[in-house]
Amino acid sequence: MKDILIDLRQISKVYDTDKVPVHALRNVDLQINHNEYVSIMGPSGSGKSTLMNIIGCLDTPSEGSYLLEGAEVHTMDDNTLARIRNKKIGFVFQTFNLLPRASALHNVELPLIYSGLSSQERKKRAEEALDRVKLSHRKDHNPNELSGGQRQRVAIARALVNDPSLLLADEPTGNLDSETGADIMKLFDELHNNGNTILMVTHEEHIAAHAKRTIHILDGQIAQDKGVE
Amino acid sequence: MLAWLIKLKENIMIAVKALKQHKMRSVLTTLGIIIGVLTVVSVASIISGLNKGFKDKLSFLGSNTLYIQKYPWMTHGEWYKYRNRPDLTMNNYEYLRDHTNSEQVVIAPSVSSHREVKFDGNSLTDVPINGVTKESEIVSNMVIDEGRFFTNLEIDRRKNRVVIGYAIKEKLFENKDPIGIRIRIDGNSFYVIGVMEKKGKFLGNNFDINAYIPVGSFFKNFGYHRSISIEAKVMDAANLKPVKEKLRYLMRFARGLKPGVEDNFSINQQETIQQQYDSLTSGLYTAAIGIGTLALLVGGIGIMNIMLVSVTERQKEIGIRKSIGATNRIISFQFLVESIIICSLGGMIALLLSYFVAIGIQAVTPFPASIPLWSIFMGLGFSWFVGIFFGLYPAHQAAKLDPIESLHYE
Ligand SMILES: Nc1ncnc2c1ncn2[C@@H]1O[C@H](COP(=O)(O)OP(=O)(O)O)[C@@H](O)[C@H]1O
Ligand SMILES: [Mg+2]
Repeated sequence: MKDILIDLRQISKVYDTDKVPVHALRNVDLQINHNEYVSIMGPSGSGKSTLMNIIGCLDTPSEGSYLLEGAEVHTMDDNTLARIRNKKIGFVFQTFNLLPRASALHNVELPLIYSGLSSQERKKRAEEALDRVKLSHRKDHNPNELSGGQRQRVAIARALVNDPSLLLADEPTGNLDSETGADIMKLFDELHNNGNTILMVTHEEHIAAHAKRTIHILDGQIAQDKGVE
Repeated sequence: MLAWLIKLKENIMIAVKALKQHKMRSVLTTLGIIIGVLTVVSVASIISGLNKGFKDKLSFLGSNTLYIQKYPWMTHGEWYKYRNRPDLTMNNYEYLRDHTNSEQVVIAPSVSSHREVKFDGNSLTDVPINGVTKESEIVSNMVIDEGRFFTNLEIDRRKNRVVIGYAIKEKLFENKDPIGIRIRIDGNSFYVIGVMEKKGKFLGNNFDINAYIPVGSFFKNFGYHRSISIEAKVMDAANLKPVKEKLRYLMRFARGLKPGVEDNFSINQQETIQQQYDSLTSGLYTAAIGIGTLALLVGGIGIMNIMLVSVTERQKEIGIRKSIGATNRIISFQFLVESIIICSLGGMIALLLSYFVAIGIQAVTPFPASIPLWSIFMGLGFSWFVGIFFGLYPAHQAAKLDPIESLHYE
């Protein structure tokens, strides 16, 4: 049975720069179902991050419609988008984007603070999430006391802590050596096996190979979409 | 509601962390707030101390009493003008007394001199000796604790009898019964006939070290050549003005002043001092509020500047928080909380300092300085207001930052 999570129709994104407008995305149509494991590939500047940001509700399209679990994201105001980011989306970045002066545990707790959970509940869930990425023993360390791979695990725990419908990862292994990258990918595979929907940007073939479906982007357009069920 | 409390707590923790990280900067930033609040609260505490002292002092001057004297209480730097006025005499007093109705106004002379008082080997120097009449009892609200006040006969016969203040009884007689005992005032012997009720100390003056003798006896023993004051207690406050006019008219007549010639005496009253005092304190308040407001304005601009710096420095953090679900309102709230905390910190430091200022004032002046409660609330209120007012713009700037741009900010 098909259970549509993301439904993009004719999505375009134009950046109004000083000189010429940049068409980062052009008329993108894309559907992703629950429990899919999708990778996005494409050359630098092709619009991968722009697409991820729109899907992750960090950015809004210039044109087109975006339904997330049936809700019309393209008509939402800032507050509603923030709530969607908080509850339905877990975002993992290439540069981790952890708060440098907060412990791993506090970093993972952050989304729960914005959901208004009590501190015991937060602690319990954040510890569970850290457990899932096998970092419980490091929960009191600040990011600068952790290795790159460990930082990315903290970031993944933070992305998972609110049980989002969708896990987005923009080049999650881009700042890691290949061995550590492989560990992170093993973690993603596990998460997918446990029922998480994953959408991941990469430009490395062997990373993309973990996904069941690979989308190629070129000049802001979908050039190829392999492995659609 | 609970969710908001959770977010408020988080925001307070963020603010405290940020302040700890930039201790020196935070302290410097609060300097304007400290100066502003300190000025306002200190002046308020000085004035409230003054007020307290002044009201007490003033209460010794009856509000219905007119003081007819050679010099006015309030001069405008022309003191020499009054020096050549002729002295006020007992004749002036008697003239006033004989031409007024004692149901309307009670008049008494007032004259005093500091003398040595001795009894049985004990002695007190510099004791104010006051010449009084029967009327003084009413005019000066004298209350007798032991013994009695003078009779008319004792006054008329200029008897060497004395009513002593409570402290004299304590110090000279070591609390033994002094009634009927003979003491020496400047070598002249006087019988003690009464002890005054205890009045207490104020501003370093002990009102209980005073002795009262018949005014005639005063002149007889200490010399006639001196200017007296005449105190006139108006029985009905509503009559104060007409009685004052009448006394002025009588005084002019008694002193043979022709129409058109200036008065050569002054009729003083409590109100004059009160007015002068009120205009002084309101001037001080205005100045304090002026300086305070200016300092708070400068402080506020400093806060705004620092908060804008803080927003820029923490743009990445803002991006991270937004990316995981912080709303614009939460972000602006975060910076507002920080600005309020900086300002309250300044306000609290200022209150602490003003406490020491109050202690200092108390130590070096005779005024009982105190920090009035309203000035504490005003000080904290001011600093909150500055925190909110000057924090709003930076908070708004933080809230409207674009999440993606902020995430990429390095
Ligand atoms: N904020 C922006 N302003 C202007 N142009 C932008 C902005 N963000 C991205 N672009 C442009 O949009 C295009 C797509 O960028 P991006 O989605 O980051 O590509 P990718 O992630 O595939 O490398 C690029 O040409 C980039 O220069
Ligand atoms: Mg990119």
